[in-house]
Amino acid sequence: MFTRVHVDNYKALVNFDLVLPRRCLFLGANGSGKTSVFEVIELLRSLLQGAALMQDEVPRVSAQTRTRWQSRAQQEFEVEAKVRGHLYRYRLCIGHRADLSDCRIDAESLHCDGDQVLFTSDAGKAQLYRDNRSKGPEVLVDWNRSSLPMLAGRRDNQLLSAFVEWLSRDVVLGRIQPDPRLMQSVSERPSPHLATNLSDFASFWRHIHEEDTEAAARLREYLSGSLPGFRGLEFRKISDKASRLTARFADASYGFEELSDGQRVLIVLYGLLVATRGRSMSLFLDEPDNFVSHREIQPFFNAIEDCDSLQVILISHHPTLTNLLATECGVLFRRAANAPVRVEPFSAPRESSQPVADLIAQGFFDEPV
Amino acid sequence: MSLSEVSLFYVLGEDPAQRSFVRAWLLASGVSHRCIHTVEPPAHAGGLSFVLSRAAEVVKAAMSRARSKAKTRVIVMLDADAETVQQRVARLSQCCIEQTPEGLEIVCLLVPKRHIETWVHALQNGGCAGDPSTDESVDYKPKSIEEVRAAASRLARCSQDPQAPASLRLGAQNLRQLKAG
Repeated sequence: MFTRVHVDNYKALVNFDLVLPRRCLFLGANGSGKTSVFEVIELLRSLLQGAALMQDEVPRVSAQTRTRWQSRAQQEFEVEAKVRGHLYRYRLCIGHRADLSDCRIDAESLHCDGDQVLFTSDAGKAQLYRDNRSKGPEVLVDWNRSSLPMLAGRRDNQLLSAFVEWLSRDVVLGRIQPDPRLMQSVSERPSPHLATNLSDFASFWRHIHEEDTEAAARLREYLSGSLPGFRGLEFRKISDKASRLTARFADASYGFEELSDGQRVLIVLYGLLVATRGRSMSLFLDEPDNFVSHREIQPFFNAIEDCDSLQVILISHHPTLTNLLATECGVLFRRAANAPVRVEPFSAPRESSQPVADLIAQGFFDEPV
Repeated sequence: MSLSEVSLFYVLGEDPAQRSFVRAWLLASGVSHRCIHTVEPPAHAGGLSFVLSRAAEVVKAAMSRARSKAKTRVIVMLDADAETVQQRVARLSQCCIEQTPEGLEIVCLLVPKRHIETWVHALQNGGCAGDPSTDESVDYKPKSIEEVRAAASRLARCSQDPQAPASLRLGAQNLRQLKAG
């Protein structure tokens, strides 16, 4: 799981450092930088799974994402993650051209358990190191892509391989912000990856459905109370390759697109829990409660709580989630106008006996004007 | 009545460990997530005063729901602390019936002596009570939520052991009655 993130010169994140526990709720006003942290995670996930900079399908690292009041051309990103008992530290430095027309990966490095270097890349050359700390091969790299996903696992660099495998297999889900209006019901092919807005959930579920024969039953179990009469999701073939996702109920079946926004979001949220069951994954859920009725919030959170191996970092303004999580694992984001983001563990005023969500609504944590 | 016939369980506890314990037991007993509603304390609240002050209100809400809608039950958990289990149960019962005299019909009380760590410790050790000379408040370290949940899932198996702490056997008996309806 991710244990720490450090960002410098990205939007309002300047020399920003945050420890990430197993459960965490980001709280704070609109524009206080919560989603920027999720964007960074999504950017790193895409790059480390092989995407290239400046591609449309990758969250773009345009020059506009540099902190406005700084003139430095380089952006720095660092994450720490605990994988199979080892603590990894991955660092990425992206440089922008003076005319702001292009950017490239200036430097990359991966360390393990403190000072053991596994990989460094600088000015287009990458140096590999073996598990016994001796120098391995040196290779030329593409400035536009991270080199890590290209590196083949070998017997003498298993530490590096474990990190790459974790990224490619267990962190397939980065930032999640369900938008039911964009969710497609037709799947051309199964896919283990998901778009941030879950527009391709049908293809993802097709993949899960093929991989895990019990997935359908578990989803039905989760949803039987929330969606009365729900019997499960099915795929109906509409061409040689394409299938249409259909929700079967006791008395009828409906195309996925025919369901209400809230029903679709409930299905995909529980679908994610089914898909991540037993895997040490990290989910960054950006306001998953949108569209979902108040009655469903606590049960969904309870279901998350029972997924021991799952790391869940949440952004939410929902009163129920706020009251459930703020005092236990809340992190408060603060930001004055045109100033960098600051974070602190959430702490309610001692003298108050009101629910946390009420305190927030009354402006207890507003930045001084 | 079986637990699956209950459409909502209110769970009232002093702290996250107690609420997790009850929730884990309910889940292990086949109750769905959607039928469990934990009553969360306000900022900086919790503990004895929170449970005692909210018990009457929660029982009243549950009675009202049970009358108008469907089967509803309340599970309240509270450490005995320095009191005896009987003293704490009496105090808690009094609070539960404050606004609804018939409220106890739908309430299940769980009172560990001296605190939940005593139960978790016993359940981790096959149901056996600890050394009688143990000072639970000093010797039993706080348990993680994972340990608490794992212990709760062992409750049915271990709690009938005569070696188990008396408060654990009493709590398990109350839960069995809840199951039996």
